[in-house]
Amino acid sequence: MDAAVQFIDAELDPILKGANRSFEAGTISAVVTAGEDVSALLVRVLAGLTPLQGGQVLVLGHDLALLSREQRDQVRRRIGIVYPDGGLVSNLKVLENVTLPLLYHTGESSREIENRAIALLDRFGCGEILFELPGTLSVALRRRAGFARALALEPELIVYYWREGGLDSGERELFLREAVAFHGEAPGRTTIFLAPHEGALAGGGTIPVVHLTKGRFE
Amino acid sequence: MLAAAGRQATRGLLFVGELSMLLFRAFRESLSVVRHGFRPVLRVYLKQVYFTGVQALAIILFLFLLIGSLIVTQMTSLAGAGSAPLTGKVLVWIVVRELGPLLTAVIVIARSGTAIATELATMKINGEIDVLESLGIPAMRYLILPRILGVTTAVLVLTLYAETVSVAGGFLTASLAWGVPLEQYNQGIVPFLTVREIGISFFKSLVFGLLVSTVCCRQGLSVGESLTQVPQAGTKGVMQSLLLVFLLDVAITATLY
Repeated sequence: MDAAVQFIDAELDPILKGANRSFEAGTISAVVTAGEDVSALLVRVLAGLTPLQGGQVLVLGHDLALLSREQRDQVRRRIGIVYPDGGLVSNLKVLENVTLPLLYHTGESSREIENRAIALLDRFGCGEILFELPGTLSVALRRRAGFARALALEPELIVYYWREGGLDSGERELFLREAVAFHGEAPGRTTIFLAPHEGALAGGGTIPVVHLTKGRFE
Repeated sequence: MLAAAGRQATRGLLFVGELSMLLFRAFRESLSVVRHGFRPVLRVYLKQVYFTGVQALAIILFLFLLIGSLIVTQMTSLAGAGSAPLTGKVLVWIVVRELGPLLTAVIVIARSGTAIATELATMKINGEIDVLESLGIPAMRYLILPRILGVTTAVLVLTLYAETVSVAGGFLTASLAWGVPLEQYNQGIVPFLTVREIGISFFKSLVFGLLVSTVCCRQGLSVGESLTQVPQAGTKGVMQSLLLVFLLDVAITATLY
């Protein structure tokens, strides 16, 4: 089985100190980190926004640091990242946030894209807030809309930057169920949760957990 | 003293270098935007033209109508009602050569320059620019290029409207207050409204539009992580734009006239 994400002697002070780990394609797993700062930095590493100080991280078979800008953007469109606060663009309405990556990366007609985005937002209970700006919404709604946007391009790798705050237990379980269901919708899709502790993923079924402790995966 | 002046000059050169680099990177994106990301970039461009151009149109037209009337009134009171050709000539010189591009740029700085700088600064601090990058959407292409093009287009078109309305306002005043006929008024306008005059006015607007948008984008992108830097970015963007627009206006006028 190919690795969707592979850390090879990865060095980045203070979160990675010679870290080695493979996340095989098609698997679902969780990384328990030492805190939100670590998760945030790990997300940046996976998206190729923060370069390593040593070693390599291969994402979908590519070292993003070695690619040209255009090539990197093509790999990034295959990665979906769900941010704790949704990560929505503040001056775009919810529907525009979801249509943006589709308009940018696909050649589909605007009507098709809008219909697809509306269907996705409906799936996550955001059908009533299509034309709202993110600033007017609760964290839970922003996160759901961000979830819809991350899924819009049918990513091969999806990373959940997980935070419990802003969601009640019912919303958290629903969110996890949706994440697990989405994982199963395409063979070969890889899902990684970055969580502050194992209990944060209760309700998502059995998810294998690795700990990122003192810069190494254990 | 000399060392301080040297440091200031170095900072100035670095600043100009940064602006040139930002402009170069934005225009490099324009080469590839046609094949990738054209639709969303076009949307941002049209929004920018609407915000900077269409929304500012009423205030610009009103101001320049008044300016045209004021110039004609002052000239007539100075040179008499029979000086219509001279009045028209002065109107063209003041409005087309200077006030049209300059005052339009000042209004755009006040309205849109500050908005662009603070908006980009807020987006950067909130991590939205990184989010866009992680979606495979380069900020330079999606955020900066359409803002620079949008503001420049708006300044060009607004200046054209402003100058037209100002000349018309001047005629209206001359005609209504002193009964000056159109033919007499035109004698002062038409011979001096040459292609060169219009071309230089157009060139000034183009330079000012590029300058204002690039300076404000650069200020917006230059913030760190603190929210207090957002209003600072707006203020710096406005002040630097004003200073550079006036400096360049003097330089262009001194070179071309």
